[in-house]
Amino acid sequence: MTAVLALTDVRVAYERTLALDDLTLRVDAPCVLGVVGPNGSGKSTLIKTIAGIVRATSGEIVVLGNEPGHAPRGAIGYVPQLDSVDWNFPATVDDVVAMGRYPHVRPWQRFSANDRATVRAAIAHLGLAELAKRPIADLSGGQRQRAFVARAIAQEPRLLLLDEPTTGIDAESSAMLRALVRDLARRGVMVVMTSHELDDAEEWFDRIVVVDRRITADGTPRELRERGIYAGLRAPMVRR
Amino acid sequence: MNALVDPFTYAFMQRAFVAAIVVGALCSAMGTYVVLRKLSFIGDGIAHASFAGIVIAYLRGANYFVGAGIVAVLTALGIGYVNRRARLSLDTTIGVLFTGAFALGVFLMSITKAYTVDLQDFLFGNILGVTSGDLYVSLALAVLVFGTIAWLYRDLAFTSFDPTVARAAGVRNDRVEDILLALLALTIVVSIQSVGIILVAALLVTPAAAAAQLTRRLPRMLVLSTVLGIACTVGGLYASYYLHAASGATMVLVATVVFFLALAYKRFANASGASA
Repeated sequence: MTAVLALTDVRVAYERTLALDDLTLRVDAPCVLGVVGPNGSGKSTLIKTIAGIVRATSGEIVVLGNEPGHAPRGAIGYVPQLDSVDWNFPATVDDVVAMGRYPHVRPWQRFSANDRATVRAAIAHLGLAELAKRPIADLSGGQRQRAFVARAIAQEPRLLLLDEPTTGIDAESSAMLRALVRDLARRGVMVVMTSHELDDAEEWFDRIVVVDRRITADGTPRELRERGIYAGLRAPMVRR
Repeated sequence: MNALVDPFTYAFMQRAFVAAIVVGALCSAMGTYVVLRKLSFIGDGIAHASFAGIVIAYLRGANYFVGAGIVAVLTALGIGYVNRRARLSLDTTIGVLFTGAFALGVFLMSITKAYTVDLQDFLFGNILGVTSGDLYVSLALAVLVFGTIAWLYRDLAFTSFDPTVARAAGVRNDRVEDILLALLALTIVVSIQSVGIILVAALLVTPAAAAAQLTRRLPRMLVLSTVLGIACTVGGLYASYYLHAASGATMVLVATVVFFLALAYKRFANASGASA
């Protein structure tokens, strides 16, 4: 059976700093996978490596049956942390969410009625309908995060990678995002999400991996809680 | 009315006006992406680097478009490649490559006795010397540039705003960047005869920066930048004709004035609560 995700003995190094060290992870069927760990433990690097943005120094990686960076256009959706772009870019919320459809539309081809409907639905789903024509520069941090998620939803990916999507958003938006993630998983989308949140882990995730350069614990949220892993992680979330 | 028509009584001025329109449109359309992708320094770098190609072409009696074009495209692609592979910052990469290529041009010029004042036209521009052949090359490039922008519009927009996410989504960011840099190099080469190596970077950046003050949508910025670019080059050419001033410098000065007017308009609009 082809795994959705398979990483074997993956090493990633930035200059001389090892970010991931012989990390092995396999996911056979779509689910919501939580990636938790202290700051600097390699969570974001793991997401970027799966996305094909960061190249592994060694090891083997298969994502949706392909090498990283070779998945079909639009198959991988990625929601990065907010500081990754220039928010003064000349675009409205509508324009940014529409970018999610770009990988699916050929050059010269106009947006179809389906493309437009998908963008509208993603905007509405994230509660951004009233802000759709607003320049992105005018949005708050939480609204920007929701615009990024809406773009990823509009892309209709098979694999959705979320890097700390709940940082800086209010409880209501977090609950909205959680419902959305669960709904995507029900529809067969694989979701990988880094998080500091452990309080609602059982409602968010089907499976959690604890990362500290490699996988140090792996199981369902309930299993990890019963094994006392949560307690160790709740202590200051910085690298030991 | 005569003031508008008078310059057209000369054939060289007719060619100059066509060149001004093409160069204004090309530079400012490409400039939109230069500004959004923070590549301002790269325009300056490619322009200076192409000087080596101009000198080599001059010494061999070849067409300057060919010599400058080859060196400019190689420098542009080299900048992109070294930047991606060598983990050097973009400004350092440009600094290394363009100064090296420019120094090669100055070196070759200094050791040849055949040097004449002609080469100075490339440093400061001489739009009045544009030939019909130059115009055909410029027009062909304009078709190529605008066609490519239309073809790659979405990928260019996505990678300009969020290259990381675009790459994750399967958009080939490296390929888009290489195409953009190659087109930028060719745009610069075509524009050098009109405004010169020293000033061409200003035409790439200033109209687009002015347009960015007036709108917050990419398609509008692209159109507005192109219109402002044409207005600046044509306006500058008229002004230089009647003031007997250097055409390239006058075009850039007009663009600078337009930029400050756009900045003032934005401040006024913000102060009065209007949103562009």
